[in-house]
Amino acid sequence: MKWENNDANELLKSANIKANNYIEIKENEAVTKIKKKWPLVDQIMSFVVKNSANRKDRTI
Amino acid sequence: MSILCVQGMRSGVGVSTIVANVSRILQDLDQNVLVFDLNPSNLLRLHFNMDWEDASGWALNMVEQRSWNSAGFQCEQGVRFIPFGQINYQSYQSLLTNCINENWLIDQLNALDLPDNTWIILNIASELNTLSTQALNNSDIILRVLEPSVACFSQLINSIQSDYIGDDLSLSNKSFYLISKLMADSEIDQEMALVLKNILVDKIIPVSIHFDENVKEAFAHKTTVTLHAPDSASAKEFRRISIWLMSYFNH
Repeated sequence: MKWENNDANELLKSANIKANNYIEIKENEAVTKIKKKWPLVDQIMSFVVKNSANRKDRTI
Repeated sequence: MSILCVQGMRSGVGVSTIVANVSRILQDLDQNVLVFDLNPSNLLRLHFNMDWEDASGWALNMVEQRSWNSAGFQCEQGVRFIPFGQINYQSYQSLLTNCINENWLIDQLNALDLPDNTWIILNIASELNTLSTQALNNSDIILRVLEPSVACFSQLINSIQSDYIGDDLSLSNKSFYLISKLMADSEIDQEMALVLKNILVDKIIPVSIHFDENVKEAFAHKTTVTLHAPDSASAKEFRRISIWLMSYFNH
């Protein structure tokens, strides 16, 4: 089986994984818009932001 | 051997479809593939053309005190497949409690004496139990599947926050996330996909599986979309995921 794989290099790059022991949200215009639009998403994201800050505090 | 474990963030997100399609593509790429169904829903067999009434499988064999691996067979496309089998809830619980010790899975896989270049693909339930925990711990790569929905987003955050699958596996080097059933014309789907990518960054596979009627039709025909509609968008996406997986292991 053969196929065209123009994105092979791009796909390979994503296999370079960096360890992450917590998640965080990168605030930008699109994220802010989504948060304002969907209240439940806003609640969950606020929780992530709060928790991410706590994790950072602990590691300092 | 390379062990790939596929788990849904919640049930119904398309894990068995992904396992069936990826396994057949890897086999087409001259890989040796063994698919081991560890999910008691016993649905994966239908993607591999088993008769609906055929209850055979490794778990049923164990309950009936027969050799578990005699339930395996080789499909027309070359993939070797071990179905779960149809057993009731009580038998399943008894099996987990009395027959599956803590090293059962890896011991059985090693005993199969498979060639080094074999891919073992484990299809596990979204709920944790002795079997799924062993699959997660012994795999080389974990693919966690989620829909771009608020429900899956909520599950994801809970799962990471509570370290649900244990040992910080949710964000470990071997865990990756795959978005499935993404509807191109749905505003909320697109926005939730963006949120998931924002949070998971390089843990998310750069190919999403879009919602495609061809996938449903393929299942109704008891086959995979890569065989039923090879030129469909979803068939191409499954190929890209398979290439990503091969790249990961070759890297």
